[in-house]
Amino acid sequence: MTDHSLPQHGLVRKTLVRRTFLRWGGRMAGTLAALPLLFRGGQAGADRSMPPIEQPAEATPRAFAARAIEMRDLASHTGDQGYGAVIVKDGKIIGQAPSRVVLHNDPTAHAEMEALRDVARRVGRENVRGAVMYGSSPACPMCEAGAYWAGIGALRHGRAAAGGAAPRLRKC
Amino acid sequence: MLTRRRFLVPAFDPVTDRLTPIEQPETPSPRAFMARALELARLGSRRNEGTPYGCVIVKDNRIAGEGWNRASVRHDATAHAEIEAIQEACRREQRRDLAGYVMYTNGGRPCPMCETAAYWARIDRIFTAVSSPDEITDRGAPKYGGC
Ligand SMILES: [Zn+2]
Ligand SMILES: [Zn+2]
Repeated sequence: MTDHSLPQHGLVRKTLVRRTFLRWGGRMAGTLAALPLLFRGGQAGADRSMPPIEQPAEATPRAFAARAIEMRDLASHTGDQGYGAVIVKDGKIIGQAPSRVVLHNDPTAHAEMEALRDVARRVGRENVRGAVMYGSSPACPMCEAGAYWAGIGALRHGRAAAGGAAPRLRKC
Repeated sequence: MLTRRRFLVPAFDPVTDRLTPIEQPETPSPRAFMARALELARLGSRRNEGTPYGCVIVKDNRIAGEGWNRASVRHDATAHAEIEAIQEACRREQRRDLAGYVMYTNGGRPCPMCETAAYWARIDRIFTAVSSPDEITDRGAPKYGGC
């Protein structure tokens, strides 16, 4: 179990500071967004300062589903709604999160949305294309549409990693 | 009116550890709130932060939260204007239940992600306008999945 996702007080503070930074940075100028590209020589938006995600011993759907369940348990442990999500690309977890609705007082902070934001911070948006999202439960329409916008290729849920269909923007 | 300078004021001041107050319209009205949403849309896209969408959350003739599309600058597909505005309102009001609040946003209708987010936040009503603050459409209460 990686510890950087543990919603301890320090992390809340760190998240707040990061958000503030993003706010400041964003408001200065749109062109500043290209700076990470220039200086890091990598993917725009990538935040290399974040501790890497511990990868499961075996890169299997079951193992990724198990991590989503771990995230769910982490959420429950901290008094949040019991949901977790993991985003996988090329056999590697590139983002993961527990639900932070209660912790952050944020009705949009479902585990899947937080996992998408985690990927956005770590590797930038472009690398999400074609990735698989594992949820401890099936995604609600907000999260499914969010996955659609991000370009997630397939949704899976539960311990058995059921599903596998591409997310849809609208189901009616 | 929203100026370029005002746009540079951060919502959160790391020095004072406080949220900076939102500039309120001189004469609060649905038209003024929608005008602000349209202005945020314009300014945000002019800064290449995302597509031209803006949103304000209002309660008792007072703007409680503002947002604009920041998907490009954040590299985050979930950073739609409505999501940003809901997050901002919740942060400022220190609550995650926005019952009694309404949303003003530009465009035809929020996408299913944002409308469902408004549903989860228990927002009362959604008002939209495509390009003019004089042509506001009442979309009613947000629907789950936008259905
Ligand atoms: Zn959800
Ligand atoms: Zn949206």
